[in-house]
Amino acid sequence: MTVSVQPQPRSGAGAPSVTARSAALHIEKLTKSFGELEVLRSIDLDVHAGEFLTLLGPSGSGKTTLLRIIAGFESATSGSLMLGDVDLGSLPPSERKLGMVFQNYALFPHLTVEQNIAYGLKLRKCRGPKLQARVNEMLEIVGLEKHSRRKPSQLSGGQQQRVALARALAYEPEILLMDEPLGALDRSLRLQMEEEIKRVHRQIGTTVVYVTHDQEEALVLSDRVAIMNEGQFAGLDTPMSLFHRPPNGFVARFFSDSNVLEAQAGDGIVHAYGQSFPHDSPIDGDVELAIRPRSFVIGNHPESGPGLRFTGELEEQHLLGEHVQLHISVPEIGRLVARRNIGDDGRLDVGDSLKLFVPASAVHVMSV
Amino acid sequence: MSRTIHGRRNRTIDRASKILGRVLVTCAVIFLLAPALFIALLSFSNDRRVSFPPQSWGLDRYIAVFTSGKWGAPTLMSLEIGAWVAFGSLLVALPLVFALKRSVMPGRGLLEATAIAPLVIPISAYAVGLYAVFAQLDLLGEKFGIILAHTVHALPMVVIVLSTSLDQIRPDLELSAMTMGANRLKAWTSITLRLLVPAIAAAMLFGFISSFDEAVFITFLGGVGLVTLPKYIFDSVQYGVDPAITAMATILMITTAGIMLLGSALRKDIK
Amino acid sequence: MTHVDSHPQRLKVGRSGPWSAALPMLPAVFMVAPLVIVALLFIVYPLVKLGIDSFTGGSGGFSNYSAVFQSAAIRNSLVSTLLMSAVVTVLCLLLGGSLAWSLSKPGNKILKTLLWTAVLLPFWMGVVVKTYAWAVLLANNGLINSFFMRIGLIDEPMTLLYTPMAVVLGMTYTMLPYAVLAMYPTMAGFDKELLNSASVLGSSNTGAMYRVWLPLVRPGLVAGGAIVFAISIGFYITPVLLGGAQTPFMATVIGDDIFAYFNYPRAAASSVILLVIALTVLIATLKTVGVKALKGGLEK
Repeated sequence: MTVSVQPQPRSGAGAPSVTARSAALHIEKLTKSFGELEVLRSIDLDVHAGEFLTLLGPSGSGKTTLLRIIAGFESATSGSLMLGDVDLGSLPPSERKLGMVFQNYALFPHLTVEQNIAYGLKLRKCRGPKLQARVNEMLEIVGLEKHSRRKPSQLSGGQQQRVALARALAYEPEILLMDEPLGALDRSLRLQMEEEIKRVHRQIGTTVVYVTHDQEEALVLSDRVAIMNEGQFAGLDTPMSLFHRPPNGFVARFFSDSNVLEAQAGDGIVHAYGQSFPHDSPIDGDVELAIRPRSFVIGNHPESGPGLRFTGELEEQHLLGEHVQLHISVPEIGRLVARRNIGDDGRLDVGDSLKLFVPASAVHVMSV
Repeated sequence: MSRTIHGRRNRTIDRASKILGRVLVTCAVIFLLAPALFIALLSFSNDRRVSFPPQSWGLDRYIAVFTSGKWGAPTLMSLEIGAWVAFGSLLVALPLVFALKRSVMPGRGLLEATAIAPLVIPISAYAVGLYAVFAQLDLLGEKFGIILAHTVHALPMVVIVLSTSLDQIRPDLELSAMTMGANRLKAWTSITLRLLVPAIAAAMLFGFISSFDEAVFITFLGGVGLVTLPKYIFDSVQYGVDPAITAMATILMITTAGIMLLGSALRKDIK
Repeated sequence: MTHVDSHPQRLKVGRSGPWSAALPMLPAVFMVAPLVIVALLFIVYPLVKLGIDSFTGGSGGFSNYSAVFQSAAIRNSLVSTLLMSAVVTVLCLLLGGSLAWSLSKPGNKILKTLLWTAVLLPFWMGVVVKTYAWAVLLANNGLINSFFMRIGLIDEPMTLLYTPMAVVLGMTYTMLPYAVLAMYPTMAGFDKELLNSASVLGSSNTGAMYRVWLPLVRPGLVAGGAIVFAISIGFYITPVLLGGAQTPFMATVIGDDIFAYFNYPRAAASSVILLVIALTVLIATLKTVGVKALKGGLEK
């Protein structure tokens, strides 16, 4: 059971030689309008070779449209789309050297698992033992050796998604596109498939563009995440950076569920709600502060050191797995969301008056 | 108190309407079943004339159908025309539904309405129109003319069967094939058409039956020389009473039912 | 990099334009061409020619139409055609509605199969075969007369065949499946909980049906009725075999005009009248219930 871990073309694949793994997707000034409606507004994006890039956004943000334009199912209104030095704009999907995994799998119901996987290879004139070897290799990678002769309707949702993955990767596409591939699965299966996709990506090393609306999925899987809002990128960075240093209020709210507060900054001092603390942020003028729910210190004991202090009333609390989410109403701000561990001492009741403290180091300053 | 009275009156009304509904349904079922069962029953009578109740039973009428030699030619004629119509209507309808469902060309609704229109045009008036056109084109009394007329007549059914079936095949499958390297034609032939095969078979069966049972166009356009099975029965019933018709009618009934059931089963097979 | 230029429109000027998932115009036009040719030659042209001939044939102008309306026989048959078709429509709605409603309700499986078989049975018989079956059923020595004579209700056989009633029965038999299938989707789509909630509010079931159900299924009923009527006025085989010469029907008159009197222009005028009536009914229906209900009525 030796599986090549090197992201290089296999001699047995019979796919057109894809030696240039540096080939990357380059999108420039891409726009798309449906009549009056602007769905994509001047998108610039470089996807590096071997990278796992996630397009994350709420529904209607344009992420699926962007993916469909890359796949060639729709044409852009303007802008350019290059794969290496090939202009994809005028090429049909069949000549774009892409693989795609659909949310509803789109497996061919009249073909067996094997035949589904062989479909793209056969179109590339891969025949005989070479074909069989490659199909077997893909079956092994997704762990479906035993089901090779089944029809898609005889498989579970997770198995179908594995076939879709194997089918799209079999002919070694330059880029693998995935359109909410886990959307139809239940939570435990989703977690399992996330691991699976991660492993396969490590193993094969294909460039992946992945669309989802689930920020957890994006966090777990991606090398970089492009957060989309109203047809534009609100943020494009590694998941860690976006999580800890969101570039704007939208990303802070959408990606890390942060509280976003208004403030002013100048000369290394941040002023908010009559309080101030020193901060090394280089931004001056009106700013926004992002505070993650976990950053609040809750309790009546006084905290020393620079930071922000609020007093509020507990409006609601509910259990979120390992922690408890608190909705606290603070007169000068409105509602703040905080979290604390389930085992933290001190029982809280709705209506309790709470003292909150955020150390300056946990406050992220963003320009408006 | 008043509520109880009210309730009692409601119950009486409900019971009456329920009974009325049952009576209507029962009448309808008897009405629908009686003629077919009656003909089938009479076909096993050996009486000289068609009368009820039969005095003697047997298979004389079936034997007559197969031995008299009168039924062979019209049956062959009907089969031949029906087969051509099945192919002809498919040839028109299949590319049409693909263009209707897979392109964004303007006027798709109008085209679909046109294809379905022959279903609601009063058939005798339409036959007169075709009569005039066929007279111009020298198609009266020509087999080709009948095939044309029957093809137009079968078109609505064939288009409806194909388009409702194509609706059930998600375009994602084609797109998926295309990303894997298939051009549009290859994606259609290897995926969509392959999945549509049962529906195509069903559409052809329905097209065939539509022609096989048709009797109006042949009367108006067939001249004297062309005699299809329905035309032959029509003439026999009009100008005389051949008791063998009961047997032929029963045979036709069973054949048509079989073909229609097969067609419906094939139509459902698509998933 | 070569593409870093100020050509945001470059996709539009690519060598063959941007690829689109939708089938391009040109092949689409080729694919609909067979239908367009067939429809122009054998649907549009015959109907247009019919209209033209009805005005230019014979003495031209409105002479053919006045000939139609001056002939008492044709006038009578036009009236009786419309009347009989109306009766057929009402019967189809009444019986078909009850059947469609029973079929849409959950119930005994065997009973349901029987109902479906009964409904589809006329579809499984060619028009000549089913008309013949009715002719035998209604004949002087047919089932009905024999039955009534046996139980002593009548001494002489009643004249059932070659009457308007025979034509109406035969036509209803043919159209009933259409009516059921046209109305079934509306009935099946009707939320039966609405009836329950209505009767909870103190309405009788019958009252609930009348007030809640009827308005909701009305589009289906109207569309079904219109289709039945439009098809009915064109019937040929059934009136000839079951109505005979005694029962006037437009199709019979038209056939006679062509084949017995060789008066094609008058036949054309009569045909145009039928077409205009059918078209008027269908367009009026389209206006009242919309294209969706009408289309639903046709797609079985």
